[in-house]
Amino acid sequence: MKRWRNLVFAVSLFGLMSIAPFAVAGGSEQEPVIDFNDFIPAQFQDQFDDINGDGIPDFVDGPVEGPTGVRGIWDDAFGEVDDQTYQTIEADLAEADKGSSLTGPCKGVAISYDADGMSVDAIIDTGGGDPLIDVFGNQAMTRGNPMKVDTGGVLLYFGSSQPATFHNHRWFIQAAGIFKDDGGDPNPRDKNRNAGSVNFGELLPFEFTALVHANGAWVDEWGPAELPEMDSYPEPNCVGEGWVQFVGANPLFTTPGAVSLALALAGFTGVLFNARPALSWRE
Amino acid sequence: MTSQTTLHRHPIRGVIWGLVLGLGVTGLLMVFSIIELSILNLIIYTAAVTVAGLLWGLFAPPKKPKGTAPAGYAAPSAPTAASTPPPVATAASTPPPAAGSAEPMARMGDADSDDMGDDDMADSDPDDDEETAG
Repeated sequence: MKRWRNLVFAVSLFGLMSIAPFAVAGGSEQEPVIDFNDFIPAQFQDQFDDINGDGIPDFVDGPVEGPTGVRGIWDDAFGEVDDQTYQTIEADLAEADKGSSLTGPCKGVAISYDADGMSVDAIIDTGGGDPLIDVFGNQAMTRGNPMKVDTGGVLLYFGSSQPATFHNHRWFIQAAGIFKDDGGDPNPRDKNRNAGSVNFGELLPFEFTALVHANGAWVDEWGPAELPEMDSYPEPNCVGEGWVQFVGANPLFTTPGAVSLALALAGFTGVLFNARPALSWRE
Repeated sequence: MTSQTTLHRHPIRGVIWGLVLGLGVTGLLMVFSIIELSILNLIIYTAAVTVAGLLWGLFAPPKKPKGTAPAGYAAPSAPTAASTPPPVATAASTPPPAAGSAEPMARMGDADSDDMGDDDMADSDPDDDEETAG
């Protein structure tokens, strides 16, 4: 009887943990205030449509196959997205909370998609001192409103430093104190914008879910030396931080989730039944 | 009973299983995005649960002893011929239990028979912190 009770308890707990993420992920009541179609060049408009009704353009025929076919689509369309487009964005940030920022001339758009090409989340920064905002005009990349990225999907991005152009620049981006990437360029061709995609489904060996804090910096005229993390950087620069939530499959059905669950169950069993003090008869 | 049992504490087992539990619980908290993914969080939460495991191994309510008590130690509490009336003889009666029988103790041990614990392992465990209960 006791074992049956424990079994029912364990199955109930597992079911609750499996269903909870889907139950919590309800639809939003807010209306989109930003039309992300404005940031997709005209020649690519027919590849996108708002299929899931979240105000963010989705891939009509599923996600593109790998980053090669998409990288630079906005680079080629020089002039399609200029400062005028960003000036049309207005957001009410009176109720914005802390936790995300992007300072300096940098601005850009990022849209994340799941494995089926449906949009998951989108953020935009219009440059200057205002924080990043989401499709509803709320402050984005905060702890309470992180940028959601599907680890089985694709992330499209467009960024620029208009009207500034950085030369001999260095940059870095890091997350959770675990991942870090950095680079730089003399920039002899005076590029001040870039676009591309990251196909997480192909890059990662397995899907995972997690909430991470990311930060980064991009400094003009820094030179070839590696850019360290500093309290303040030489001007001009772009410095940002924010929260990213990796989403996708049910956490328990990802490799890290399954391993964690196995460890938790083993540890719980060991603590309860093998580490507990015990009385024994004296010989 | 307490004067005839030995208490085995398991601090090292508590630390080991607490470490395993801590890693698992911290991992679950992270994959469910309840806490931030970071090395610092991993260390803090795992260490906290490991300490809890250590304390559990030292101070948790002990499991009752299994099986029957050794005959010699049960003798003082067993009924004696002088203090108890002789059993009433019947046709189907069974012989009375011999002096020193541990039947009452055995019942107590059986009451905990559903416990999945491994008391036998405690006797040979080097991390046992053994003390006499009483």
